[in-house]
Amino acid sequence: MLKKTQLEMLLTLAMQSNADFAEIFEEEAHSERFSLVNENVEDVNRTVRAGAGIRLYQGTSSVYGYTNEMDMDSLEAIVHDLADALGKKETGTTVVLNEREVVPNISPIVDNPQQASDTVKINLLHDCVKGAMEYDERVFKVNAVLSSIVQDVQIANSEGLFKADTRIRTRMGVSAYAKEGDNVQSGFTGPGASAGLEYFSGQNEPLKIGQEAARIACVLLKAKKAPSGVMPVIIDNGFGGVVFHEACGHSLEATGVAKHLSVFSEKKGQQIASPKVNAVDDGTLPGQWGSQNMDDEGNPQQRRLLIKDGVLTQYMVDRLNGRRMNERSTGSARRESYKYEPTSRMSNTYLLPGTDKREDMFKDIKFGLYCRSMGGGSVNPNTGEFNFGVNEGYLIEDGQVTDPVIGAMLIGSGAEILKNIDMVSDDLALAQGMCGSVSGSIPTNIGQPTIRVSSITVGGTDNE
Amino acid sequence: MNKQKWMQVALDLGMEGLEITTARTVSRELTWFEGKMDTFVNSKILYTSFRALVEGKIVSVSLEKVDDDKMIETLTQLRDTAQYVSDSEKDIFVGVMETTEEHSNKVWIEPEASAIQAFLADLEQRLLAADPRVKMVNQLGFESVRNESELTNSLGVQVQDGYQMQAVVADITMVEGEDLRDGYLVRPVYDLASFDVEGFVQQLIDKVASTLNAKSCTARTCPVIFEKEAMSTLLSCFAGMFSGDLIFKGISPIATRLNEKVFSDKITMIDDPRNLDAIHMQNYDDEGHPTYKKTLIDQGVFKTILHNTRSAIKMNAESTGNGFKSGAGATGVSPMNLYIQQGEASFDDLLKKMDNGVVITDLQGMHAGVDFVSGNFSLQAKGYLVQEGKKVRPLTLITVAGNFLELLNDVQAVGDDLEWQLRSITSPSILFNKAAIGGNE
Repeated sequence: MLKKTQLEMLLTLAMQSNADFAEIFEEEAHSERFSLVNENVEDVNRTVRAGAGIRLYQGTSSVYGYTNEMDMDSLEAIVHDLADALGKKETGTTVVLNEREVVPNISPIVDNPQQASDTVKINLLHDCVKGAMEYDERVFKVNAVLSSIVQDVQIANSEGLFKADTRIRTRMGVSAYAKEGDNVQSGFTGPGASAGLEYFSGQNEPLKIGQEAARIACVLLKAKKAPSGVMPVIIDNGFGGVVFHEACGHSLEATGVAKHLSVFSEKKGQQIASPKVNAVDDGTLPGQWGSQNMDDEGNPQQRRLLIKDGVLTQYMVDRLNGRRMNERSTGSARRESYKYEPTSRMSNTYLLPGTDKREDMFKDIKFGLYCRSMGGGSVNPNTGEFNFGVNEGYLIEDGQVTDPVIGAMLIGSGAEILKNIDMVSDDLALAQGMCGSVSGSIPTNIGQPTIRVSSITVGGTDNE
Repeated sequence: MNKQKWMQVALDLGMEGLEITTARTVSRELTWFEGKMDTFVNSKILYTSFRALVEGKIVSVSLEKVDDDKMIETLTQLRDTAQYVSDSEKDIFVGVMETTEEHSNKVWIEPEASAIQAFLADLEQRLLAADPRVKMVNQLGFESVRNESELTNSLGVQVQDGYQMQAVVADITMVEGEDLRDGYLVRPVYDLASFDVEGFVQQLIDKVASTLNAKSCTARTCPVIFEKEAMSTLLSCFAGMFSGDLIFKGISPIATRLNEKVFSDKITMIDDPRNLDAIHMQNYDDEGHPTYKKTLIDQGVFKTILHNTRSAIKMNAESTGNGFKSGAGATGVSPMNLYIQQGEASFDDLLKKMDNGVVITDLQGMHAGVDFVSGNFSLQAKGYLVQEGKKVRPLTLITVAGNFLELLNDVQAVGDDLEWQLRSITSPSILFNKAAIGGNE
C-alpha cells in the first residue's frame, strides 16, 4: 500500500489544477474460488487484484484514472494526465492527510476463509454436493462453488481524510441439475455473508444449501408452462425483494436522480407507493452480504429510510451526485474495484415487515401466480420499466396453491407496481445477490416480507 | 518480469510445465453532459496469469501484482494446489503448431482529447436540434481500448494477439405528449474525421421516435420477426450450447445430438475467430491453440462441438481453439465470432411474408428470463405490431417466450441483413412461424 507521504504528494500534485477535490482509492484484493462438479474438484483458482484509482472533481465534472502499475512514476503520469484534462495551475492546495484510521469492523470474522486449509473448504463443498445428490435420484449433476474475497482498501482525499478498511466476504453458490426423460431442469441457490467459514452452519449448513438447489430443480421437472396475462401475484419473502430492488431501488440512486434521469427525480415528499410500503437501504447490518464499514469514498455507511408509509423520504447519494443535487452524501458510494469510479448504489435494501398474515393473502385470489423464488431482473431507471424472472412459480387457483409453472416473467413499471402492493406480511427475510450497474458488480442484499401485488403482467408461454 | 526464470523455477519445483500470459490494456473514455465534459477516465492495466501443469492437471493463478522476489512462494502454492484437483481433470499444454496468421484490416485513428470534446459537443447539439421531441441527451461518450497480449509456455510456444476498438455511444430521451421514451446507439469509430455523424443522429432519432406512444398488447401466439439486434441477443444467451465442457456434463440442450438435425434446415451457424468483418479477431485462443473457422450447424444439422484442451481430452477429441477465459478462473470453452449465416430475404420481404404479427426489436432481462439447460426463455421485449405487412403501432412492456430449440425449428425465412457492429455473436433478422407474446391489454 502507498505510504502517507506518497499519497500526500500525489494529491498535492492533483490539486495543482482546476480541481477542487482529489481522491485516491487503493486496494489489494485476494480472491479464491473452489469449484466441485459432483465428486470432482474441477478447479481451484486464486486471483490478486491490486491497483489504485485517482479521481479529481471540478464542480460536477470528474476525471478518473486507474492503474495497477504502482510505482510513483506511473502514478504521477496518471495524475498529470487527469490534471491536464481539467487544466493545470502553477500552484494549489498542499494536501496534509490525517493519521491513517482503520475503521472499526462491524462484521467480525471468526474463521478467515483464506487462512483455512484447502481441505476444509473442499469438504464443505462435498457436503453441499451430497445434500443435492441424495435429495432425489433424478439429480444427476451438481456444481458447487465456494468463493471468498479479502479486500484491503485505503482511501485518501484532499480534505485530509485517510481511512483504511478490510472487507471479507464468503459465498457458496450451487446449481443442481435434475433429469426425467429428455426434460432437464436446474435449481440455484447462493447464500453469502460478510463473514468467514463460520457462516456455513445452522440454516446455512452446506448439506441444506445443496438440498435447496436440488428441491427447486425437481419441482421444475413437473412444472407446466406459465400462463400469460394480468393477474394478482404473491411474491415470497427473501429473494422476492428483487422486485423492489429493480422496480424502485435503482430509480432512487442519485446516479439517475441527480441528472433527472429517474422516474423518481424531484419526488421527495410525494406518495410514490401504497401506504403499506416502508423501505430501507441499510449498510450497517453486522455480517450482512451488502454491509460495509465505510463506503468507497470513506464515508460511514448509514441506515437510509427510503420510503415511509408510501412517501419517498430519501435518495441514496454519493459525493459527486450530492453536488449536483445540493445534498450531502448518504454514504452510498460503492464500486466493484479500483477499476470503477464510485457512484450511489444499494447495500442491504428491503421492505419492512407489515401486519398482514401470509395465510390471508391467498384466500380471495381466484386465479393468480405465487412466486416462491425469483430469478434476477433489470430496470430502465428513466422509464421505470422492469422485468424479472420467476424461478419457482405456482398457480393460485380458488385460493389454493396448485401446479408449479416455468417460464414466467413479471413485467411492469416501478411507479405502478409500488402502488399495487395491497398486502405486506410480517415474515421479513434477506437474500444475497450481485448487483451490476455503472460502477461494476457489487454484493447487495435484497429482502422483503411476503407481499401481494393486486395486478401485474405475467408473460408466459401458455396462451391457450 | 523474467519469464524464462519463472519457467525454470517451475520446472525445478517439480512441475511438468508453466504457461505465462501477460496482457496490457490501455483505455480512455470521455463522457459529455449538458454542454460540458462530465467524466474522463483513463487506465493502464497489466495482467499476468500463470497456469502450471502438475501431475497431468492444470492449476492457475491470476495476478495484478507480480513480484519476482515471491517467485518460489507463488509457484509453490500453485503446485500444491494441484493435489486437490481431481484426477479426472487431466489436461495438457498446447505445443508449437503451424499456422498462418491473419491480420486485422481495421485501421483506427486515435483522436486527441480536445478533438473528442469538440466531437461530443457537436454531437450533443445535433441530437438536440434534430427533432423537437428530443428532451434530453442522457449520455454521450467516446471510448477507446487497446490491448496487447502474449502467451509463452515451457513447450516453446510464444504467440501474440491484441485488439483495438473505438466507439461512440449516445442515449437520448424523447417526449411526445405525456409519453417519454429513451434509447441508445453504439457505433464503432475508425476515424473521427470521417465518421458519419448525420447518419448516426438520424439512426438514433428514428430508433427512439419509433417507440413513442408504445403500449402493450393482448397476449397472443402469432408469427414473429426477431429483428437482427434482438436475434443476436437471443443467440448470445444460448451460444454456450456448443461447448464441449457443458456437453460432456450433459447440461447443453443439444448434449446428445451431434450429427442430428437440431434446427430448421434454413439455419447454418459458423464460428470464426479470424473473421475480419467482426470487431476483434484472434489467431490463438487463451491456451495458445491456433483458431480456425468451423461450421457448427450445417443446414440444421449439428456438426461441430467446440473444445479447449481439457474438454477435448474428456471427449476424446481435438481442441478447436476455443479455450477462452472470461475473467478469472479456469479457461472455459466459448465461441468467438459466432454467427447465423444470412439468407436472401430483405427485411421488407420478411414483413410481407409475415403479413400479420409482431416484430421484436429489443430484449431485456436476459440474466433472469433464460433457462439455458432447457432452452426455455421468457423475456421483456419491445417491438411493433404488423398488419398486412405494415407497421401499425409500437409495443412496449410485452414479453416474448418460448423454447430456443423449438423456435429455431420453426423458421419461415432468414433475412439478408447480417452485420457485426460491436458484437462478437451476431445474426440476421429471422421470421418464425410463431412465438408466445404476453401483454396486459
